[in-house]
Amino acid sequence: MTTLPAPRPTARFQASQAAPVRLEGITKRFGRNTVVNRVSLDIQPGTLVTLLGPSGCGKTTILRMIAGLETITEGQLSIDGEDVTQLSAAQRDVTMVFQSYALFPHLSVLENVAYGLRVGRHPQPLTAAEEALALVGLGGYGGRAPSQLSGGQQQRVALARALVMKPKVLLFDEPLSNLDAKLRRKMRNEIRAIQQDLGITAVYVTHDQAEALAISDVVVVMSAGNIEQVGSPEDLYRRPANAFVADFIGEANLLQATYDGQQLAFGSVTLPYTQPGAPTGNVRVLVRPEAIAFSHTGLAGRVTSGAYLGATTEYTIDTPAGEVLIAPPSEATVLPNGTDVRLSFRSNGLYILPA
Amino acid sequence: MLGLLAFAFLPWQRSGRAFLAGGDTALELLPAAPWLWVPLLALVASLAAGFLNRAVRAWPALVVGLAGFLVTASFIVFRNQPVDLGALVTALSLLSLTGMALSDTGIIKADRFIAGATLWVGLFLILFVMFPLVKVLRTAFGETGFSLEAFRSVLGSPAFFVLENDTTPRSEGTLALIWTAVGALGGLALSLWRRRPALAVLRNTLLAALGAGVLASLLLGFGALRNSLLLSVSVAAASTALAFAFALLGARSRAPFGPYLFLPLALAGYAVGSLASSTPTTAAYGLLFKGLGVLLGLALAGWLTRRRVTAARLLGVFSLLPIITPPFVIGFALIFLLGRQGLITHSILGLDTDALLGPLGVGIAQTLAFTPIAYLVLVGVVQSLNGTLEEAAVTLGANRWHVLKTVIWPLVRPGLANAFLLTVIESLADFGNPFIMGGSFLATEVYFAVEFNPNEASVYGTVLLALSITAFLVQQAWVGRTNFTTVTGKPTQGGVTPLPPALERSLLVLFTLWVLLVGAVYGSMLFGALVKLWGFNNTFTVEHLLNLSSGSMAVFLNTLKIAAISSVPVLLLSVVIAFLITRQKFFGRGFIELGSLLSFAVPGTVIGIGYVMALNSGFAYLTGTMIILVIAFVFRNMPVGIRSAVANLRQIDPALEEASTTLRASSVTTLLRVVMPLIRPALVSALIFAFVRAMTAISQIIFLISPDHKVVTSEILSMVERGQLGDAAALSALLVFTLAAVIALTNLLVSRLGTPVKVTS
Ligand SMILES: Nc1ncnc2c1ncn2[C@@H]1O[C@H](COP(=O)(O)OP(=O)(O)O)[C@@H](O)[C@H]1O
Ligand SMILES: [Mg+2]
Repeated sequence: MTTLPAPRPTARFQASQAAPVRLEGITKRFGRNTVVNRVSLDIQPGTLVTLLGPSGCGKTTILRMIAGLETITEGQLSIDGEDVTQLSAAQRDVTMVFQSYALFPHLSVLENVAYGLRVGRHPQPLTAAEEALALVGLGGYGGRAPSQLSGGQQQRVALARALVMKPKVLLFDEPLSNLDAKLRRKMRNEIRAIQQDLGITAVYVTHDQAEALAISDVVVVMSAGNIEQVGSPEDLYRRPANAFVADFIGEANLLQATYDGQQLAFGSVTLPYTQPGAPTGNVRVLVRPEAIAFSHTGLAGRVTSGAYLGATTEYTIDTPAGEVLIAPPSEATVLPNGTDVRLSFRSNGLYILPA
Repeated sequence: MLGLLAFAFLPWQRSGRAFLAGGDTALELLPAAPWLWVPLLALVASLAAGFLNRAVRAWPALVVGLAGFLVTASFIVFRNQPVDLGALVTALSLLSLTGMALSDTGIIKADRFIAGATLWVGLFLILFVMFPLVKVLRTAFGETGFSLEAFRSVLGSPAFFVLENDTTPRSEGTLALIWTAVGALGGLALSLWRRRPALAVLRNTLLAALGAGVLASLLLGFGALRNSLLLSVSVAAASTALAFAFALLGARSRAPFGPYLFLPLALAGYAVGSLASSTPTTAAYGLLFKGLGVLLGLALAGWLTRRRVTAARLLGVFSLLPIITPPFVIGFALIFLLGRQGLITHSILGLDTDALLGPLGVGIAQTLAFTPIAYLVLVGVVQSLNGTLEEAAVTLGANRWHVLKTVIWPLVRPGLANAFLLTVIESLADFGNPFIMGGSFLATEVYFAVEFNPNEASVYGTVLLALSITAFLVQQAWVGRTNFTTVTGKPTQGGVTPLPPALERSLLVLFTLWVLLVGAVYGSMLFGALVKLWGFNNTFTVEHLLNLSSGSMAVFLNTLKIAAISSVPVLLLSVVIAFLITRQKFFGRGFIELGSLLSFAVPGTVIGIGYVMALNSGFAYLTGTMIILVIAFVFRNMPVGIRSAVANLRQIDPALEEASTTLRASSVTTLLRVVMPLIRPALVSALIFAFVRAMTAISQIIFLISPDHKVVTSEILSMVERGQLGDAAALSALLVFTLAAVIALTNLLVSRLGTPVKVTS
């Protein structure tokens, strides 16, 4: 499904100069409870960086500290080279798109977008607000009340309201979580397109790994207040730093194998494989489901469950190297439980996890 | 800037009561009072600093502001001359400067408005809540040095509490001891029988003994303490029970209430008919009028039945009554019903007694007055019960009685405790009813003692305060937190489990009786206003209404003015404090929260003597002015305002305000442009509520009125005292009807304002 974003007058609408953001050893404690633990991060100007992690791992808290809505317990935050750790939210050039949109229900759509401009005594708040609405494809909707718009449209108003301030950094806190699946895909493409057109620095929070991979320049995987890995979407998928990242991003089979520098052996089955810098001896290997196929030779196993999913069928298979999940294209029938099968591996779908 | 102008040109101190009546300005005082140089220099310096960079001037500004304020405050306190606006504005400007500087230096992590507002609110709370209370306590514990003398003399006096009555042959002390022993034995037996562990046995035995002993002392003893406690506990029990019955009806009954109304409405029609025929006419006309009245009443009941009006609808109206009626007006109307010439005692029962008017009458009046308050608490609780829970219980095979016992009862128990304790507090604090009906109670003892023996008054006040605060703390600790959300929460979705039919019928009968009684109370007030002299000469007259316009109308209008003036600061303070409490984290929040919550529990009488004692001389000389009335209303009604504002703010998604903040709005801007518009309907209601409460207040105000500044409630009281029952009834009716009209108009206005704003976007 591809949707062309609405035509945008980007030439007239310039975001302010994209700014780098730097987090140095940032810690947040609520009482004795450490929620964010010595997080350091360098965000390049004009990139979209996603904070990804399970619910409760501290993503929103980091975002709110960047916005200035939470105080920073320890550490230093700088935006555009300026230390803003002590500045209040109103003093920072940062705007945010809230999970609940947080549109002011007593103001029209246009007045919502113009709100920040009016507060900042902009000479022509309504004109600028109209432009921002047009940018998100809502030109002509300004007179409505927020409650008269659909969820996706409300989301765009929230985006326009944040963009119109020409912030140095734009923050998104799970902006799509209240939309249905199709709309979510469409909106994430639009957000990405606008962000790239305007070349704005953005920090985006989500717990949905597919969304993170689709939208980001850089993904930061977090768990329990700590950064697990920072990298491009492809890095994270192909070369996860540890089992947590491997498991969190995509479907992962973690198999026991031995590696001697040239060959990888799953029990009796061996295949040629080299991975510079990988540990040798007993290792844990990440095998993505799409790198495994049924074959006549290879690792023997037995089907323990099969589920028909339409285009593919998902099987779990018990092997001497561990339990394996694969999802081959559906055949005429689903293999019954207990069927003996053999599995072969593509070597570019394997990755030996660092020790 | 403003401060400087005020310093130079507004009078610093007053010679008499009046403000702005040409006292010396600070400039004129300056030569004689070298200390005044400090605030002057501070103000000049802050004006000059306006040109400096914020970061540079933050620390110096803090020092200057703080020093200026402290010197000004100490100067005011030590000079001990009544202050005028000049001093006030100077002090407040310096305080604001301190607040801004505290924010600029980063000592308070909040913006300048929040920091300044916090200091202001803190100062007000200290001046007008803490200071009067401390004054009462200090008077109670001896003004010079700590002494328990006043306490000993009061607590030892038989007027306060005595168990042994020398005029009875029995010995109450021994009896109470016997009760205690019986209680102990009972507790012991019960817990042994239930096979409790040894420690629990001991605890239960002691508790039972204590309970029985206290009960015996309450029932057998004498004195104000015993009277007040017994009264409040019995009134609270009765009100809570009635209110729970009505809450079940209000939340659950869908049966038409019309059929039950035939009798009451026919009676009402008969009464109206007899009033209309009371002017000398022939007997035939009299009969005609009465017959017509009865027929009209029956027709109305029939119409209500056809419309299938439920008890819930009526309950909504009834729960409004105590808001627009001073509690003592009910007591006063009871005189018409239960007095020597009362409708019930004399005309119906043929008795010639006013025995029902003493403490018993106080109890009846308070029950009538406070049941609706308890109802408001409980109906929210019953409504918020999740219907699906009960449905689950029903599908598990429980019958309705069982559901009531196993599901509803455990869930409403905290609500019941809450209603009970709130009523205890109200009853303890009620001054008007005991005053009218007689009997010795703590609240009235304070009043009678205050003129000739302030120490004794303070001791009574302290005891009253201690009791109320104990009840309040128990309520907070026990149900405070849970209650907040359930009472304000909307009714949850889910089917309404109907009441068992037998229960519903008996509750409806109970409610009918209640309607009859309340109708009689308000009816008698009207009739009292329209007949020559109730009970003696029941002929129709407009004499009392005419009297109104000649004398008490001026007082009525004056009260309207004071109440209206005071409701505005209530609103502003409530919104700001609620905003501070719910949305800001800062040093001192706990103090403000505690201060505003505690003033809930302080009985009006205690506030009243506190103000009289604290604001009667020295720099805070305010008694006898209108301002003291306004201040008393403001700080009396503020907690209610805060509570309603907090409840409203809690329903607004904080993300709205955060969105405003990230769009670079300061907290004032956020407050004005986002918060206030969103809670506008609630603000209007709060404003009106503050106004109405000010109109109906009596206990704190009775101490503060002066010949020039009387209020309508005290006027009614003194009319009752002088025996001008007709005039008092007319004035009460005027008050009640005006307030009813005000509330009706407000409701109309609020619904026009468009209440259905979706506040969580
Ligand atoms: N104001 C707060 N007070 C106390 N704990 C909080 C507060 N806000 C968040 N937390 C806790 O911090 C942790 C991280 O929260 P959050 O950053 O919202 O997680 P995420 O956005 O990753 O789901 C959670 O355990 C949450 O309970
Ligand atoms: Mg979150």
